[in-house]
Amino acid sequence: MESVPEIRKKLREKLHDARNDQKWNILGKKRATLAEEEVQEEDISLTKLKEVCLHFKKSQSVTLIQQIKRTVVKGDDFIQVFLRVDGCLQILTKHLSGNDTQLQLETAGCVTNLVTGSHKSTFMVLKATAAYLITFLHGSNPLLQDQAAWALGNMAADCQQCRKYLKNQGLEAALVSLLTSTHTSVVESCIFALSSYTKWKDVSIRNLVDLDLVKLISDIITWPDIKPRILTDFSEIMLRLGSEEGPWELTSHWQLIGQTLAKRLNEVSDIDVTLAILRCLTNMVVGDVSDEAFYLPVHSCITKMLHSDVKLLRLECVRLLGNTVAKPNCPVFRLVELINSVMVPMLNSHEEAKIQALFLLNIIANHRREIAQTLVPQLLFESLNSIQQSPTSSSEVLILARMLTANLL
Amino acid sequence: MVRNMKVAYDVQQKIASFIPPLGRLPPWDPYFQENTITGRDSRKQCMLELDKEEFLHKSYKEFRCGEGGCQANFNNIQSYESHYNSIHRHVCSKCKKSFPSDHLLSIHITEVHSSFFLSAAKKSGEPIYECLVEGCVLKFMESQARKEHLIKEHKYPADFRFSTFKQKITKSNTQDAMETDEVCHKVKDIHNRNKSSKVNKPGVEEPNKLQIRVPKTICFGYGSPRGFHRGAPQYRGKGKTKHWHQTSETGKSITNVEDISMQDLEKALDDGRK
Repeated sequence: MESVPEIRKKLREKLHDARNDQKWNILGKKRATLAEEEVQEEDISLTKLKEVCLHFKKSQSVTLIQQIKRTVVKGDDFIQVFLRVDGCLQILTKHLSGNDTQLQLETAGCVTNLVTGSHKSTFMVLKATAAYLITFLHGSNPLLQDQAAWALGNMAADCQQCRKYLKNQGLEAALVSLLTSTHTSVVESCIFALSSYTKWKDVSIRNLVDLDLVKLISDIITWPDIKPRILTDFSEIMLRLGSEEGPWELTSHWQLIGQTLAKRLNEVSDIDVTLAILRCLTNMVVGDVSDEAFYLPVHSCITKMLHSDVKLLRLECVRLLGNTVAKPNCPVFRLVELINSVMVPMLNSHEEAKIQALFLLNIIANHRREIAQTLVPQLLFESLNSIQQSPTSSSEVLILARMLTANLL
Repeated sequence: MVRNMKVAYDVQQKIASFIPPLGRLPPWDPYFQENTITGRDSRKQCMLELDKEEFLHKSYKEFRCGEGGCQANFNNIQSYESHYNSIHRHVCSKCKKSFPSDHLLSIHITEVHSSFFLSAAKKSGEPIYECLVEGCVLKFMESQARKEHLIKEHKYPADFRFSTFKQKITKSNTQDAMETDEVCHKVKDIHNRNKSSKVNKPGVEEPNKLQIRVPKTICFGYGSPRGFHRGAPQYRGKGKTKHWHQTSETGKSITNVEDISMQDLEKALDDGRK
């Protein structure tokens, strides 16, 4: 027969287990949803969406806004259904400018998706909501700032008319000022928005530079845990900045960005990110960013990427090398190093590499004619001779080899 | 000869396919458009979930904001912080109106609460109404001109909620004022006590139309303390949990604080002394 303390202990343990089970049951139900990596789109038809929109007009429900938000990602047809329901956009705008923060956030998310459709629907939503979103960028709620920047980035990616509207409403100053935010997600959304905004011909980069853009983004590139997507967006902004000659290239911030990007090039493995960084470095190298802190990491990376399976990466490496050797003030020792370590081995590789190496050597021979002969090692002459005498050399290779021989002699 | 030209053209094309263009290229250059990684056009990004860590936020028993008499309730810290940052960060200390940004708040304070602003407007004849867009340095003589500038130049919607500022309407001043929703609980001004000559039917109470002008955050005596607390009774003041004007059931009093005069007070004191 058990004693009273033993019985009490057993009861206590049972109660403890029952409470634990209850807790884990509740968590289990929640975690079942959390385990899904991507939230599923709402599986409702166009007709059903229209009913949801009519219901939304009458009721201020966060759930309805969420449902609409998840449905309109399916395409422009769904966005058009929402916009055609009379008064829906006005009510959405009213929620966006209201006092209920939860409604505001969900509405901003809904707007983010509504502007992923055609120009017509994007412009309609932009005219109604962009002014509020830009006002929120100057506010103090980081969640709202994050969402607003995201939505504005989508709007900026649409067309010239949208970008002009956004510029007139003060988007540039708002985005640049938000780069100093202490919240990582806010800065990331800003980088995305700036990347969407600056990659077009109708946008003047000088206004942004005057707002201290280069200085502010130089602080961001030094983050240790920068995400690949953000690095890509960042590189696209740099590509745009580097596509024009300007006084910002003479600043220390520019040099720092170049050196940091060159270091990152060796650390990333994603093709998207590598390509984006390579492209912006190719523009930057035309300027004055070519000191050792920049050049050495780039050189080690190029030597590997010239043998990559991805043609785009190989092409981009050749572009970078071409811009480097074409510079009139490229140091002689660097040219010698590139010829010996990169171009001569390419002459002994496959046809594409031979053509590219001969092209680069022709650039050197044309641009640095006075020192071309002293640059050319004996090894190169031997390679050229063997190419010209080989029966398997293609017409393209032979033509370029003869051009080079003529330039050197 | 034609064949030679064709061969030369083919050679040229083949070389060009291996040789990229040099120099600085802008993002819209055809070279980048032709050489992209297929299927990765990510100009616009959709969002599906506002907060992926929603279920990781610790839930608390429902608590009230309480800031400035705010009645909003929350059960987690994140939503409370979001609410506070949106609604209570840029609040006018004089009229308790809330604004979405510091810039709009400072314009409101200058135009509505600064007596110097009005006199400067009249005397100097210079434009004083600042544009609402941060970064735009233009100023205007009248708020209507500013509104037109916002619509015409900055492409703001005509019904932009934060585009007009209203001052308290006094005898000497009837200028435009700002319309924003107020955070503090404010009972509408519908005072109608002792002015009606109607006789109430027996058993029917006159509907309460008393005006309570004392904000709920003002305590006479104990009342409810300010600040963030879980709402348990032990954290509230002794005796009464709320003062009479802080409860919603204020209709039972027949006395309107605003209508008490000095003579009434003297009479009450004399009665007390007796």
